[in-house]
Amino acid sequence: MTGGSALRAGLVIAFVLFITLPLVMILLEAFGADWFGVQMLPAQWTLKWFTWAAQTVDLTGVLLNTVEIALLATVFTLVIAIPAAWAIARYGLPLKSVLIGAILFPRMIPEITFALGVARIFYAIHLTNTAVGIALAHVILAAPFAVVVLVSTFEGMDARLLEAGAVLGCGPLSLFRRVTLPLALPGIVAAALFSFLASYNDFVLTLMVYGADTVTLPVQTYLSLGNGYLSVAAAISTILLLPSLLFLLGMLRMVNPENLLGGLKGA
Amino acid sequence: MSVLVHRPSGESVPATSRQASAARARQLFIGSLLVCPLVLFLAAAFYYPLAYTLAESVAPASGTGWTLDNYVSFLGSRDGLGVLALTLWLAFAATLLSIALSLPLALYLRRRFFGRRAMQFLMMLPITIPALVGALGLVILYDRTGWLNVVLLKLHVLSEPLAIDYTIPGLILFYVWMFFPYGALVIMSGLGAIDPALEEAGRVMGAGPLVVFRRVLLPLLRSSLWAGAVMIFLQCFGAFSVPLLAGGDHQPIGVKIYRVANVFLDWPQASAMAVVMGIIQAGLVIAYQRAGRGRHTA
Repeated sequence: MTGGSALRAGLVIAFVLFITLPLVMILLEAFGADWFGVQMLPAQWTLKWFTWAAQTVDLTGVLLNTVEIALLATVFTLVIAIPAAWAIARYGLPLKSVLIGAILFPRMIPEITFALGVARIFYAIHLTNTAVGIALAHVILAAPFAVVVLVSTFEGMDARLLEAGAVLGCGPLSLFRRVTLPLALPGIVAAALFSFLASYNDFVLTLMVYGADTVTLPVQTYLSLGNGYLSVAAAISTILLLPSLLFLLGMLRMVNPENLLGGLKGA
Repeated sequence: MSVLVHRPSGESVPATSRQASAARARQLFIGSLLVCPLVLFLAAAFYYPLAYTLAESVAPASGTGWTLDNYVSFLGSRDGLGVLALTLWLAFAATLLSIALSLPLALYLRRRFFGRRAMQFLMMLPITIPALVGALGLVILYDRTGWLNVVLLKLHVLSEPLAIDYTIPGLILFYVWMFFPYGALVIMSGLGAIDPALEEAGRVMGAGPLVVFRRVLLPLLRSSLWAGAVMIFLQCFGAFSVPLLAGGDHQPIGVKIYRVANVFLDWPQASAMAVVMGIIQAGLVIAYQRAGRGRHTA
C-alpha cells in the first residue's frame, strides 16, 4: 500500500467513525449496562431499559400516540395537498409563484418562530393535548413538501396518455383508475411517506402543543433525558430512529441522494 | 414572440373563442376551489399564529396601543445581543468547517468505487434521522466520561478528559456533524453537472490535478459552494435540538425563545425574539434567492 492510499483509507475510516459513532453510542446505551465512562463496551447486554421504559413511561402508549398522530397528519396532508397540487400543476392558476411561495414559507423559517403562536391559538381552541391538534400542527410542516413532490409528479404526467385513454373509450372513472392513478401513485406514495416521517420525527412543534395524554416518542426521549434516565432515553431513541433508517435505505435503492434535497428534516 | 393575426375590424369574436374563455373561467373557478382547503388551512394554522406572535410581541404590558419594549429589551441588552452573536458565530464557524469537509468528500464520492453507495448512505444519516436522536448520540459520545475520552485516556493520548459537551467548540463540531450533508449534497449535484470534457481538456493541456481543481473545477463550482454554504448556515441558525441538549449555558436564539416562553412564561418577550429570528432567516432566504436569480439572468 502506498503512502497516498494509506492516507486516503485513514481519512475514509475517520469519516465513517465520525458519522456513525454517535449512533453506535445510542445502541450501546440502549442495549448495554455497566459500562458508561469506564469501559469501551458494556459489561452486559440487556433489554432492561426497554422494560423500564415500558413500565415507567408507558412506552407502548407513547408509540401508539406517535403512530396515530403521524397517520392522522398523513391523511390530513394528502387530503388538502393533492387537490391543491393538482390545481397548481394543471389549471394554469394566476399568481402561481406567489401561491407556491406562500405554501413553502412555513419551511423557510425555523419551527420555533411559529410554534409559539401555534401553541397560543391551539390552546385557546382546545386543540393542545389532542391527537388531532398535534396532527394538524404537523400538517404545517408536511403540506409544503407534499405539495412540491405532488406538483412535480402531476406536471410530469403526459397529457397525451390521458387523451389516448379517452380516445380509446375509457369513461372518466376507468380513465382515473387505469391511467391517472397509476401515473400519480409514485408521487402520492412519496408525499405520504414524507408526511408520515415529518410528523413521526417532529420535536419542536410537538413540544409546544403536547400534553399528558399525547406524549410522542421525541417528547418522551427529551423528558426521560431531563429526568436523568439516559439509557431509557437511548432505548426510546432506537424506536424513534427505525422509520427514518428504513426510509433512507428504501430511498437510496431508488434515487440518487442529490435528488432528495430539501427533504424532511426539522431542527 | 408574437404571431400577428390580421383580423378585419368589426368582425365579431368567433363562437369558439367565447366558448374557450368560458371554459377558461370554469377551469379557474375549479382550480381555485381545489387550492382552497390548503390555503385556508395554512392561513388558519400558520399565518394567523404568525400574526398573533407579531401582535403579542408589540402588546404593552398593560392598557392598549402598542410598544417596542420587548424588542428594545432584547436588541438593546448585552444579553440579547450576546444571544444573537452566539447564534451567528456558531452558524458561521460550522458553515466554514462543513464546506471544508463537504468539498473533498464530494470530490471523493464522484468516482465510482466499491462502497460508494454505502458512503452516500452514511452521509445522508445525519439529516434523515430525527435531530433529537443525533443530538443525544453526540452528547453521549463526547461526554467527559464518554467513549472518545475513555479511548483517548486509555491510549494515553490525554491525561485529562476533554470537555466537549456544553462548550462552544463542541457545539460547532455537533452542528458540522448534523448539517454538513446539506452542503455535500449541493456540491455533489454541482459536480455532477460539470462536463468531464472540461477537466480532460485541462489535463490534455498539461495541467496537474491541483491546477485542474483550482482553475477548472473551483470556478465552475462557485455557485454550488455558495448554495451549500447558505443551506448549512440557515440550518445552523435554526438549530434547536443540538443546542437544547448539548449547549448547556450556551443558548442560541432558538433555545432561548423556548426557555423564555416555557420556563419564564414571558410570552411577549419570546414572541419578539421569534419575530427577530424569523425576519433574519426569511431575509437570508430572500437575499439568497435574489442573488441566485441575478446569477442566472446575468
